[in-house]
Amino acid sequence: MTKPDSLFASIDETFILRLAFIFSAQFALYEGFQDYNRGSGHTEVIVLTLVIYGVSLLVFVMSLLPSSVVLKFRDLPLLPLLLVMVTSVYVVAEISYRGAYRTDVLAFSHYAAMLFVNQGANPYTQDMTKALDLFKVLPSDLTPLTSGTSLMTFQYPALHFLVFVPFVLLGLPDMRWVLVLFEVGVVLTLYLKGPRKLRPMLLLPLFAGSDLMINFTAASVSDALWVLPLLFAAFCLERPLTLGLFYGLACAMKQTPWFLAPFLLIYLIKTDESKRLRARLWPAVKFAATTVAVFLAINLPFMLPSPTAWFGNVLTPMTADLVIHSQGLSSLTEVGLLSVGKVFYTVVFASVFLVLIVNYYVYFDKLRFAFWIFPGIALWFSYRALTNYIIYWTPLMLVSMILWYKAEQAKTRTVQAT
Amino acid sequence: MVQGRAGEDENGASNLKRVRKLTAPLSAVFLILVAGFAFINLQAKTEYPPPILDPEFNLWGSNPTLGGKTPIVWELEYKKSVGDQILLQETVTADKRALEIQIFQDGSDDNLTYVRLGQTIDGIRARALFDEEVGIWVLLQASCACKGPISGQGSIFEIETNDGTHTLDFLFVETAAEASISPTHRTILLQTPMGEWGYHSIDLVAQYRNAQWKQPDQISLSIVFSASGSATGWHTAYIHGFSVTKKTTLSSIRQHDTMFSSLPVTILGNPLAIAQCTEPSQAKYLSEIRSSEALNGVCHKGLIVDCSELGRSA
Repeated sequence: MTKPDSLFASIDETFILRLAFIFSAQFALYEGFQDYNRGSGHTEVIVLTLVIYGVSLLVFVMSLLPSSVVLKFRDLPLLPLLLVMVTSVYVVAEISYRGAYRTDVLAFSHYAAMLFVNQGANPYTQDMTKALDLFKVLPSDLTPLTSGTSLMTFQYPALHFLVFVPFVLLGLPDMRWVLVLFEVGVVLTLYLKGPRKLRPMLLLPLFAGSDLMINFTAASVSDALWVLPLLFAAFCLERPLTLGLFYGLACAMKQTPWFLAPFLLIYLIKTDESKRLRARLWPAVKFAATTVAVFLAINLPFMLPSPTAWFGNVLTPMTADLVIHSQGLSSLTEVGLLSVGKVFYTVVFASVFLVLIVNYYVYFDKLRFAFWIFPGIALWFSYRALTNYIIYWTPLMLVSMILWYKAEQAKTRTVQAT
Repeated sequence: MVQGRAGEDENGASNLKRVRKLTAPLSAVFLILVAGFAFINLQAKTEYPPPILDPEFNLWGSNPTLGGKTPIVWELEYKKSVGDQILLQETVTADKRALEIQIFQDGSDDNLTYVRLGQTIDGIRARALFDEEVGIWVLLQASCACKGPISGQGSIFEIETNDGTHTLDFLFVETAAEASISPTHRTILLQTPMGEWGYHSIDLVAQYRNAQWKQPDQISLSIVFSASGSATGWHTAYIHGFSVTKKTTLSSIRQHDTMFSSLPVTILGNPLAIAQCTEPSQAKYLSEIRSSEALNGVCHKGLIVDCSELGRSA
């Protein structure tokens, strides 16, 4: 006799679930093998690898069991994915990199949190050189300047180090585990908010390669910090105050989400064009006010004592003499194929950004859900177009898919009801 | 009235339609024009990083393994036996800021003690390294034999480049000699008087051309200072820094060196008077150490000083 669950599940749904099972098992097997190679000789890695292989084999088998079993264990693909995520970050960070931070960003942020906890110091006025010793940052991982020296200041909004303060107090030695915590938050939020039938499929883009959820975090890239609050914001697009709260938090983490502001404002103004303009502007005003209030509440205590230092540091990516370094258009200059200066790329970036804003406004009906990747597109034309400026928008694209799916579903229900 | 409003609505809808029709193509045209204009006007103003990062050793961080501070940007590699000592520090010597490298070879075994500070240069930086003139200011100090005279060959101070296949060793030596050549390895001897700043131009292009080697896309550049197991005592070398400039004549730089070094200065806390050059173009300095300070720890050519109580300050 067929179980009730499978009665309502379509053939397509179980097929998709089976696909997700096989994908997650295959990905875990791949990462398990990588970990085996990276950490050979370490007993704990061998044990973890055995567990990963065991789980992968189990999920492989379960993918081809009767539909009732597949449906009953529909959330199983989460297990191998989360397991390899945590294991691989551990193996790469602690064994391959021997605990060293591979970016100055995380070293400076961790050190800033330590300075704040131990001395109550304002990190924007401090030299961060000591962080490089503390966290064993390699010379090749510094941010070089055109003068031949490297950046030695804390360059992010205050929440980027404040977020580590509780963990410094707890004595956590490696802040990559905080990043992993944020990543797990991203995965679970997307999973729980996704349509039940298709949940496991939502994870696939996140794990289509090891960079987004494993390698970047293991290498101390800190973007997961702004992705989670922005994810919460994305699910509150219809509630301007909550949207502003979470967007303000994301902006207080790092500068990348700042580029989303014009698109969010347009979204709020254009989302319900049946209303009068004044009624449409009000949510935008509420959103903007909340965002600014949250951002200032976090940053003012550091901004007011030394505004020049705060602005100088936080605007470093726009004002400092950073060298061209990119996986975007400016890589042509980096290798000497295109002899143009940083100003060229800044002009092109600004033009693309402007064009995207105008086009989003004009073609809102068509582009309504596409705006999450627009900052990534514009940044690809900048003189520092690093992959993390683009890849971390993927979870937000998934939110758009979920919202779109739900909107379509609601529309279908309305049509069916009438 | 209603008719008028309907007309306005129609006009509005028609305008909107036109805007929607034109925005996308106009955006494309706008982007092409801006990119073209920017390309024409902002060409050749590229700000590349210099080929050699931190060429004057400005960035220092503490090194718990070696002890004390070491340059951050330069990757440090060293080898020493238990009794040997290695010290890197920022100092001012003969009126120039410098990276001071000191090695104490205790002579308890035959092992070489060495320090290597290197960086990998690739892409556009590697090309610039070959296209432009690389210069280096160095000062060699005679080795100081503690508890006895120096034996063996003493120390070797050099700049080494390696592209994975070919190695160039630019050795700073007191007496000029012929370069040694093999298919993949060349040693170039650069005459450097003891106790004086000397500027040397490192012409990679010429060396690669002479050797008929292909110019590489990636190259490592290292400062290497070593003391053989038999060279017991303290060995010291100074580097003021690298300069990478457009190709120029060496003589003008030498003249600058002469003028710059003709001031009374202090080495390791001991006054050292350097007399004016008799002929600036000769770039030759006359130096003398005040005899009262000479025994205070400064080791110079021809002097063997008992450093036993001076520790690493010698």
